Order: sequence, then structure tokens, then C-alpha cells
Amino acid sequence: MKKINYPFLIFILLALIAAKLLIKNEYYLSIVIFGMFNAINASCFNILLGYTGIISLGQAAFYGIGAYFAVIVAASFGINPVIAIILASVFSAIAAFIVGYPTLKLHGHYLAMATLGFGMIIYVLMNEMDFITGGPSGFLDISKFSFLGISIYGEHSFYIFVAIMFFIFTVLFELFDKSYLSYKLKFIKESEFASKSFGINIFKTKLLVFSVTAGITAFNGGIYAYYSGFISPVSFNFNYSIELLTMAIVGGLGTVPGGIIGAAVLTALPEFMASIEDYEMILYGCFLAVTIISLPGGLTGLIKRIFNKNAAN
Amino acid sequence: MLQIKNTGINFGGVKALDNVNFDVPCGSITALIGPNGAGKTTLFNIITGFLKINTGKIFFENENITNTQPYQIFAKGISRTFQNLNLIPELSLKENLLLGIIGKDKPSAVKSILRLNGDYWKKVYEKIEYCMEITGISEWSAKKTDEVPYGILKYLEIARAIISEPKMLLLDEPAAGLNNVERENLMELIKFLISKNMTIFMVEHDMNFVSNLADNVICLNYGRVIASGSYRDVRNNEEVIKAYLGDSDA
Amino acid sequence: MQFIYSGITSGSIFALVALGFNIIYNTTGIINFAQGEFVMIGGMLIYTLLSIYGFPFLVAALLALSAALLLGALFERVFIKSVRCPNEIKLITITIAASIILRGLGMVIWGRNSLSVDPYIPYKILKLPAGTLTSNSLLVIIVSLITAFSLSLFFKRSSLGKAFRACYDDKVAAGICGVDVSKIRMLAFGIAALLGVIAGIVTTPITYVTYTDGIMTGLKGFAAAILGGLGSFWGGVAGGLLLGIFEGFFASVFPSGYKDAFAFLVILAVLFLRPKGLFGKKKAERL
Repeated sequence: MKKINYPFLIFILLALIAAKLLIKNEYYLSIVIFGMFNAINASCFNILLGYTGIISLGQAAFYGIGAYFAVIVAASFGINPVIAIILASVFSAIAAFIVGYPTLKLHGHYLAMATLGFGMIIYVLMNEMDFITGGPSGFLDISKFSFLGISIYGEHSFYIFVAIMFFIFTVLFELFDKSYLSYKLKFIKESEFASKSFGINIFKTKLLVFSVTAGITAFNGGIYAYYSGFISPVSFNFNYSIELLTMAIVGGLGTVPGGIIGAAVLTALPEFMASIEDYEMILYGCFLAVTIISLPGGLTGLIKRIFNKNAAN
Repeated sequence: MLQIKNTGINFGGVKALDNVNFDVPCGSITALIGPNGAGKTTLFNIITGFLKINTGKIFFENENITNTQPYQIFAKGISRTFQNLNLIPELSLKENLLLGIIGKDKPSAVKSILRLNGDYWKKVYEKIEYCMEITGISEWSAKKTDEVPYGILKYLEIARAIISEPKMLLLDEPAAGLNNVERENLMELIKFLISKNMTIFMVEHDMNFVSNLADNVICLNYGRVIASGSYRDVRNNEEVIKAYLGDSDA
Repeated sequence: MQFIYSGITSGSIFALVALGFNIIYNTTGIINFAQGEFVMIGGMLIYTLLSIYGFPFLVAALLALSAALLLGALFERVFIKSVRCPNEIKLITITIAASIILRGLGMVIWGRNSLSVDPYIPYKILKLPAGTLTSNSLLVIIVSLITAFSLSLFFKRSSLGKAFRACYDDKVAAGICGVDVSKIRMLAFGIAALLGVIAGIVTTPITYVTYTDGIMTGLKGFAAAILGGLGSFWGGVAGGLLLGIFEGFFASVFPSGYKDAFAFLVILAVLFLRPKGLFGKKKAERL
């Protein structure tokens, strides 16, 4: 067990508090909230690709399953949204198990295409099964959200709720990173041959990781649905899966801050360049390409190198 | 302890192993020798469950382990090293050793994440220290694998294989690439492991090494056992001499 | 039975895209996620050359094809060759990055609207047994088949084509025997882009072209390649035609909105049931 990176956790906590105190504008607050949703999703993607070596291009589908399932179940059976979101998370984990059972035996590009195919199928179903999902326009009036009897409504109270959720997630992720599990996954990623020789059931481990991250992503999706008040398939298409991939890689694969930094930078980016909106996609692609080609550790790696250099001086 | 019975395997049309029979007795050092391409590493991969055999059976402690999954073989107490090292460069030596133990103990994921089993991990790290000490690599423990000499990595592989306290240790060319001092130390280490009730089965090319250590020698050529017995018997076997020196008639 | 004719039309496009995937895969081991973007660029280029600059068709087509070769070669040099210590994940993600950039460029240069060009040949409806086929669809089918045949001749007969096949069999040995492996890789991307642009040119009069088209086209082409067996030349062609016909049948039975999901059901089914595809041979793997 390695030492926990307390300065990092404290920094995140202070940043969350500072954002609440400093940002009065509701629009900017909502961007921070979206950043946190993205950060959790990108971190889940990071656990898959950066730690375990599973390339999943269908993460948006799990996010969407979480959002749709929670809203539909809560509305049809009149149950509390929180319970519906937990059910959605379990449902998504089961879906991931069923999809992962045949796909996780595949590697590399086959796995990428299989998960992408799964994501596309879910996207088409969201659009076409309008009798359940509301079709391309989705759901508009999603009921109010309350947690432990406290009604959560509006940017400010949602900010507090999502920030707490995000912080708990970050702490758990940090604990995971410093536990033996992160090593176990890295062993699998680096050498399946050696891992098998030392008693690790690779398939079972991958399936578990895939299901757990799908569950977390879906939970996140459920909260997102109640936060935004409406959902439609466009939020959960292939592009979003690719955005998550970009965030995780640009931020730094295989590190805790990676997904968070990547999500922060790439969520904020469009806001700074509203005037050249059309170039956003090109810039996204260039970020991704430059990181892969010349920045192997992503932004996290870069920051670490700068710190180490300063420490050495 | 380990019994290979009538084992055969084909790759396409090639018989890589053909009707191989032998035992590895408990508490012995058994060496598998033979020219390149004789099927030695193939046999290791069969025992550890990476290759499925076409004919025959394999028993470990009188239990049939034929065509069992690799991770299940490890659970039964067979551990191995690799000819081409399978280590993780981004981790330190100490962290690399974790792989040797987690597959055996299967510590609880939830407890480990929430740090509720600190005592267990303390013991694990004590074990890691101990294994690094007996293999003589303690001073390197914080280094990454690309920062240490090749010989150290060979010892690291052995340390990783013994940390789970296996009943049988398979060593794939342990002496290859080591200098003379390192070889002497390796011999001492292997003798020490035998004194700890481990059974050792190794593939080795260095005949000096084999003659000093092995109780039994098995010689493989073209997928068949051509001789077995003590080192002296095998060395004087005509077929073995032919296999190594080439057939003078041909 | 009409679905067979429409299926063969769209299937021959899938076949061209599948061939692009296969050529790159065979020479480099890479799955090029930007393959569909080449088709989009092809459609956009021919639109610009014909509708904006008003070139005669043959000149426009020749210009577009030369641009394609250049684009493919540039693509390999800029994105693929510059990846240090390449592994599968890096190569997958770099082609994804490239596809985003190409799509973004498509949007910036040609905007968000669907673009179209006038048909290259007069519109006629051909009556066939149990269905009809338009003259433009027939053109798509014929051009695709001619392209596939000439490409196969190129690989079989020309010395450069033989160098391609040598790279597929054994890169190291090919390199030792004097094949310039790096040049072959670059050329493979060039030819793949060429195939994409040909597909783009022939479909644009029928289907219009939008900057987002590349994703779907690429994925369906990949489905075709997987169906026929990744890396198999005629498997790719057969996979494309089969996928087109299946998809046409599926769309005639189920609501057409589900059509796009079908190609992915095919990908998943093939990957689970028969990963080497219908006609593929699996290369032996060693531990």
C-alpha cells in the first residue's frame, strides 16, 4: 500500500469550495458541474484504458443507459429518483456484464469496434424506441430531485450535491490507485501471460472492472438527467465516447488526476473560444494527436516533470 | 510429484512433443536439457496450462491437471519464471513482486481499497523484504526494472516466483545471461530453496550448472525423451552425444 | 426483391471502404478509424471541383484522385509515422484523432449543410427481374467492381503490388530483401485514401455528402471487412456486398430507423461467433 496523495485531495477539496465561493454566475457554475460529470466519466474510462488496457468506445452508452433508465423507472413506477438511479446503476452494470462477457475476450481494435458497435446500437434504440424513450427529442420535464428529504433544485444546490459526489469519487479513486488493485490491473495490461501464470483470472477481473465502471458511469448519468432536467440521445452518442477518450488521454492515462485535468481543460475550452466555435473539433483532434505523439504521460505527466525539475533545482 | 504421461502436442502438422513420459520426484532438482527447438519451453507452457495437449495426461501430486487454466495451475502450487523476462518497466522491483502474491492470497478488494486489512499488507511487505533478501536484491528494491542490471532482473523473477511459497518451481533457463559470480550465487539460492522443501524443475543449457545441481536430468530432442537419469548417465548416452554434436554419419 | 438491388449498390461502397481497411491492416496492422473520412473528403472534393470551379468531370475526377493519394500519404507521415514506440492502443487512438481533425476540417471548409452534385450520367430506370435499378446506382456498382479488379491485378502482377504482399507475409524479411517497408506503408495509406475518394465520388450524386458522414461509412465498411474476414481481399468485397444486401433486407422488414444498428449487430455477431470472418484465414499466433 502506497501513501495517499493528501495534497492532491486537499487541493481538489479547496478548488471545489473556492469555485462555489467565487463563482456567482449560474452559467459558469453549470460549466463546473458539467466538468465534474465529465471528470467522473473520463476517470472511469481511464480505469479501463489507462489501468486495465480495455479500450471501450461505448462509455457514452452506459452514461445514457443510466440517465434513461433512472428517468423512465422513476416516472413509471413513481419511485424516489435516488432509488431509481441506484437501480439504473445496477442495471447498467448487468448490461456491461452481458456485453463484456463475449467482448472482453477480444483485444485491441476488435474490442474497440465491438464496444463502439454496442454504443451505436444503444444510440439507435434511444432514437427509435420512441414509445419508451421519447425518440430523438427525449424527455423534457424530468421530475424534481430530492435526496434524504432535501429538495435539490437549481445550480447552487446541485453544485453542492455533485461536488460532494465528485469528491467522494475522487477519494475512492485515489484509494484504489494506491491499493494493490491498481497494480493488479497494470500487471494485466502489461503482460497477460505473466498475470495468468501468477494465478490471476484475467477474464473475471476485466469483466468486473468493466461492470463496475459501467455502474459508476450510469450512476453519474442518472444524476446528470435530474440535473439537466431533460435528456435526448444526442448527449450520449459516439462523439461523447470520443470526448471521454480525448479527456483521459490528454489528461494522462493511468493516473488519478489524468481524467480530472483532461475533463477540466476540455470542458472549459469551448467557453474560451466561443468566437471560433467551428474550430473546436479540429482543436480537439489536435490536442489528442499531439498528446499521443509527443506527450506520453499527458498533462499530468507534463506537470509532474515540471515539478520534479523544480525540485531538482 | 509431477508426472508427465504419454504427452504429445502438434502445431499444425509438426509434432512438437511426442509421447513424453517422466516424473519429477518430490524434493528433487530435475533438469530438462536438449538442443534448441527440442520442445523444452513448450513443455513448460503445457505444464503451466498455456498450451493444450493432444494426447496424454499430466498429474501434480496425484491430481490430474491436464488442460487446466494457467491461474488454476498456479493455485495448486506451481510457479514459474520466464525465459524472456515478463516484468513491468514502469514499476519498481518491489512493486513487481506484488504480482507473485496477489494471485495466491486473493485479498479482498473492498477491504484493501478502504485500508481495513493493514495487518495483511504488512505481512505481505515483510514477505517481499524476505524474498528480496534471500535473492540478494534488497538494495535495488526501489529502482525501476530498466535501471538495474540484467542479472538482478533474473533474481527478481525468481523472487517473484517464490513469494507465494509454491510447492514446485519451474525455472526457464535461470543461468542464461548471468556472469560467473551470479551463477555461483544462483546455485546457492537454488540449494537454499531445496532446503525449504521446494521441488525444482528447470530448463538449462549450462552443463556445468546442471552437473553441479541436478539430481535427475532429462534430455529432450525433437519432442521425444532420448535419455533420463543422473547427469553422468545422460552425458554418456550415445543418443544425447549425437543430438548435441550432430550425427557424424549424416 | 428490390432490396437486393439497393443492397448491392450500398454494398459496393462498403466493399470499397472495406478494401481500404484491409490494405492498411495487411501492410501495417493498423485499423484506420479515419477510413470513412476519406469517403467524406472524396465527396466534398468532387463537389468543389465540379460545382464551384466547374471543371469537366474527367479533369475533376483526376484531380480528386491525385489529391487522395497525396492526402493518404500525408496522413501516414503526419500521424502514423510520428508515433514513437507504437502499440495497438496508440495507433487506434491516433487514427481516431486524425478522423476528428479531418471531420473538423470538413466542417470548417465545407460547412454543415448536405452538398450534392449533378448525376454524371443521364438518369434512367432499368427494369430488372423483380425490381429496378437506376443508371447511377449501376455506375456505382460497375466502378466499384472495376476498382476492385484492377486493384487485385495490381497486387498480383505488378512488382510494387508484390512488395505489398511481401510486407503482409513478413515485414522484417521483406525489408531485408530490399523492399522499402516505410514507402509501402505510406503508399498503403495513399491507396486506401484513393479507394475512399472513389467511393465518395460515385455516391455523392445519389446520397449527398455531409461532414459527419464519415463515421457511419467507416463503421459499416469495417463491419464489411470483419464479415468477410479482416485482411482478406475478396472477403472484403464479398463482405461489403453481403452486408449491403442484409441491411437492405433488414430495412425492408423493420422500421428503417433501425437500419443503422444492423451493421453493428453484424460486427458483434461475427466477433463473437466467428472472429476470423466468413472467408478469412487466421494467422497462427505464438505465445
